[in-house]
Amino acid sequence: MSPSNDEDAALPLTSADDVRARFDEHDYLADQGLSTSVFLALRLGMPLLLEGEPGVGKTAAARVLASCLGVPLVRLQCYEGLSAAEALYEWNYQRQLLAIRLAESHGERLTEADLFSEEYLIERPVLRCVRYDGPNPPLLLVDEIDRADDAFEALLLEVLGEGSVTVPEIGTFTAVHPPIVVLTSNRSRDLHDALRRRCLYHWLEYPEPERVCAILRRTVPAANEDLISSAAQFVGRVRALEVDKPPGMAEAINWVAALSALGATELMRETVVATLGAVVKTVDDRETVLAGLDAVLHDSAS
Amino acid sequence: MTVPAEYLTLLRGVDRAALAAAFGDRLRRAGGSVPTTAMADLCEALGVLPPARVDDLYWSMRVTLVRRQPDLEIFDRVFATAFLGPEQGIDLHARRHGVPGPEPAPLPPGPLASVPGGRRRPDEAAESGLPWNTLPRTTAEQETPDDTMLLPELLPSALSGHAETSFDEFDDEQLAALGRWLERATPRWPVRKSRRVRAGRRGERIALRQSIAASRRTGWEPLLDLRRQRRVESPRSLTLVTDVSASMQSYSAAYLHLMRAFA
Repeated sequence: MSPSNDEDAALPLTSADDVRARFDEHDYLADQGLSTSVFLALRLGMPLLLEGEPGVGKTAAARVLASCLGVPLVRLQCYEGLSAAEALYEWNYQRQLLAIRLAESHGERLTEADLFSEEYLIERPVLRCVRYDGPNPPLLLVDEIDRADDAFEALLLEVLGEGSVTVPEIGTFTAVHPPIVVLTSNRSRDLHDALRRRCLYHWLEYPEPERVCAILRRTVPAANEDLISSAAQFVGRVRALEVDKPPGMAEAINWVAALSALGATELMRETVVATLGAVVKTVDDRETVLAGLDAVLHDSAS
Repeated sequence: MTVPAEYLTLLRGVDRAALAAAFGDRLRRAGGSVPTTAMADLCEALGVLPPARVDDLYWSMRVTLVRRQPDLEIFDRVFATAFLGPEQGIDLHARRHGVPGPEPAPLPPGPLASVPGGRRRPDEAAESGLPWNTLPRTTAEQETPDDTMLLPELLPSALSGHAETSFDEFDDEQLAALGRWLERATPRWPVRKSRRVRAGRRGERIALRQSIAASRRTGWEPLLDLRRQRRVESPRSLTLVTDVSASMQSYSAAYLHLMRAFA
């Protein structure tokens, strides 16, 4: 959880263009689709599902949105086997045992209701967002939901639909101000319709080369113009090759940062080979790119 | 003087619910999955963010109606035909019946269309319009050596193309199409007249027994209510014997469809 200190930015977003301008202030160049979907999600009070290839800026969009709104970001990273105990809430088993022991030693009788009270409840990210009592609801980022199991999606339905969490022993906690929810998915598996139905959906495309240049200019100010434009072309060409993990925006940024740290001002074969690890992340892909390197370099230079 | 924002909208005076329902329905018919709640979301979105341009409308619709990436292609196509293309003409006939367009199942244009004969430039197919109601354009002035005469090239329809394919190469969809075709063809099976007769309004002979029985109501006056009878027609009997053993495996699916159609 990383509360933002940006107090000036805590203004509501008034239109899709406003979203775009405010994202721009935070160095995120949003296109019309993303700004429309973010604005509608906020105004309609619906969760936003962002899908796209890895590295197109889904998580970054959520992070920027939180800082634009000046609200805390609560991030829930999904993984296989993620369960209610880690995401929603858990009972503090040790404290319950201790309470039983203490009661026994004092000769008191404990009922079940005493043991399953809010006192013994450990809040996990989702419940924490629902019970948040500040003026501005936090932003709950459910990252890479496709990596969690089907069962976990079902657990999220209540909070996505009604903004509430039900603890069977206590009752239902309903958020006073429902949290802003952003879900991201790499589409490694298909999400259930029930989950999709409750969300607004936006598919993020890999940006076109001109946009990549604009983003690189913003994020790596040290790099010169030639390097940025040929690197953007190069990454675009690598994406077109038959690679397992096509490089995303994040890879492009890292690569240009690496090239400019090495003092490169244009793409030279030696420098590219030395820094290729920033663009392609598997041995097979590296071989594929090296095999077609001359053609790709030639095209990028022209 | 600046124009107030509400006057800049694209959909001033449009029933948002009707628009959302109609477009959602089009999307469904084109094969996209659109939950009803999505249409409600669209209504709300159009209220919150009144579109000033077609772009704005596109994004509001796409964000609310499309829920999965494969549907995006269908959405783009339907949106383009509905809002960008000249699909709905101004003439009333086209509005009422729609233009015979690509909506139900757009076929890939080009290679399967029959090509009219005559002299033809290579790029003429694209500009010659509808081949079935405009005469093929013939041009005589261009006498270049590589300008060849084309004979009418009649290409088979999708169904007759199957005649050349052997049954074991049929995929599930083609088999289902064959089954449907057989079902439609069965009512045309010839019938034979039997010696039995049955009462019927359009029979050619007078049914004596029924007429007499009916005349009881009129004091045995039969002329007021003559009944007619007709010969019973029964379909010609047919016995199908099908070999579905392993050696005939490739044919068995098609044969079973045939038997199902006659059952």
